[in-house]
Amino acid sequence: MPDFLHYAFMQRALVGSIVVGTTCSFIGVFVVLRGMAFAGSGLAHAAFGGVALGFLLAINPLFSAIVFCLGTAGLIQMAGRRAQIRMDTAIGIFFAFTMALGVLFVGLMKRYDARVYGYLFGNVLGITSGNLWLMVGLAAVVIGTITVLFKELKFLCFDEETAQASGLPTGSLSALLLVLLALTVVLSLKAIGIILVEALLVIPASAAYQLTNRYGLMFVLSWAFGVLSCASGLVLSYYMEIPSGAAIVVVATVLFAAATLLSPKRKPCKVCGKEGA
Amino acid sequence: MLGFALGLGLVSASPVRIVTTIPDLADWARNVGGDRVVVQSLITGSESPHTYEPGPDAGMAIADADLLVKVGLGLEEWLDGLVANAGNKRLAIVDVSEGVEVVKDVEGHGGGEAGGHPFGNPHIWLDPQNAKAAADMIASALSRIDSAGAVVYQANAQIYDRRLDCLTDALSRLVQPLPDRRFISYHESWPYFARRFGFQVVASIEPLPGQEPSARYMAGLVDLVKSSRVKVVCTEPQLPQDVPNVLASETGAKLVMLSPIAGALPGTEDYFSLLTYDVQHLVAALSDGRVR
Repeated sequence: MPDFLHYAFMQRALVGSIVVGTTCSFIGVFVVLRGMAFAGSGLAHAAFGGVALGFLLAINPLFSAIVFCLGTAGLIQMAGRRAQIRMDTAIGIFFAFTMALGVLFVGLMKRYDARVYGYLFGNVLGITSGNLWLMVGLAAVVIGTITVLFKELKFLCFDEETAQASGLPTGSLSALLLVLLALTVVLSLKAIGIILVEALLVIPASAAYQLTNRYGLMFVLSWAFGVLSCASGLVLSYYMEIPSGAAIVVVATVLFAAATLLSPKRKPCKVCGKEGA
Repeated sequence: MLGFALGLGLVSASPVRIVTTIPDLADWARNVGGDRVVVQSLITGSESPHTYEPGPDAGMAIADADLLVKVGLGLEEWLDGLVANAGNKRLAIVDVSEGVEVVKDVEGHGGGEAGGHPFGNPHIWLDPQNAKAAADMIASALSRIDSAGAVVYQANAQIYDRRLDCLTDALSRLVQPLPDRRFISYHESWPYFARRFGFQVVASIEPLPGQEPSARYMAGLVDLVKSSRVKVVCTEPQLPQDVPNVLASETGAKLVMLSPIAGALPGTEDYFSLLTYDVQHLVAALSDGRVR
């Protein structure tokens, strides 16, 4: 057993980072296929507002982050429909609003709590047993929902119009994806942090997309890249004494670069000679 | 003679306004100044002086004050700008670390750079002998500002010095019987305290003051605590509790909360009760766990 695993806090950190890598890589497939990267970014900033509120009220910041993120997801959906604005405009508004709320809450705190910094960039020392159970619970909800609705979500991703025409509740499914994204962001906070979670939502799935167009295989590859990034990023952060979030994202990006270089989509078509399958 | 002098002192002009940075200094100033002074501390106890951010009320307090009492040694980085902005020409300043024999930080396990406190460890107020010197300095400053009260201030300072000597003896006697006086500190708050009362700080959780330990540094601390069989880890109410909790639960060491500043914990509103609380609780943790 590698020496760092002798410590209970590192065992928790490793389990936590694998849970995060798995969940982010699964929901990341939808982020990439449906262009939800900006939504992921927006929800991560809403999480900052939620965490800051938790510190201000002296309650568990992860709980307040869940409420804040779900609320923001709901408001984004509503704004898109009621105010007749585009999704990215709605996200842009709430992204800035919740970030500003977060700064306001930090300003209202009587004393600066250094743990806020840990939520921005990830702090594996902060993963308690209670946190781990919450992370596993949220991950189970996200992955369970994706599994149960696997075929419906596939239909939604690849041909939304036909899906709608054949009676699938595409609006509700889209909203559900946003909710799952919100839960994924919150469970990832302690391992990777608010600033960088959006990277983990996008990069492993993008790397997988470089290597395949097949829906099912994309999940497998994305999962492999995600877990590899998180586990090796954690080990790197231990030995190099750098924040875990940064190390995880660097590894994920290196893997993405490798996938791009090896991508069959870059090779010229054998029939017409054009690049890109 | 004392009564006569005090009697004269009662017929005084408006009280001398004193502002201090931390509550402990405010308590010293009150003991020296008595009825002739009005004292306010900028920090109430729940903030760390290293990360405290003064608001406009702090600027106003300094603008109106006659005397500012500070610790110095780089502890209150936020103070110089505040004083310059307040533009108070008549403000006298007492730096209670003047003349104190300054110690370096206890080197953290793993050998950090030579101390993160750039001018030496500033937590000098936790040694009651330094409090005596400070009381004398405050008395001198007050005597210059309010010469009518000079006799009162000197007398009060002498009384306070005696009381501080008694306190030092009493608390040191609590520590003497302990066979093992070693503990892990969180922030480097305790070198003067430990030296005076006979404790030993083995390492500090923060590798540099204000810096949270990395996972690897924490692993090193866990190994140190286990191999040296250190029984006690201390935490502070002004700082986040996660990290000392991890160290204590990972090693089975006892976690005890000590405050380096008065006013943070119930029962520590003034300097004497703060020192008593800290020594008693640390002694209890190092022995069988009951506060006597």
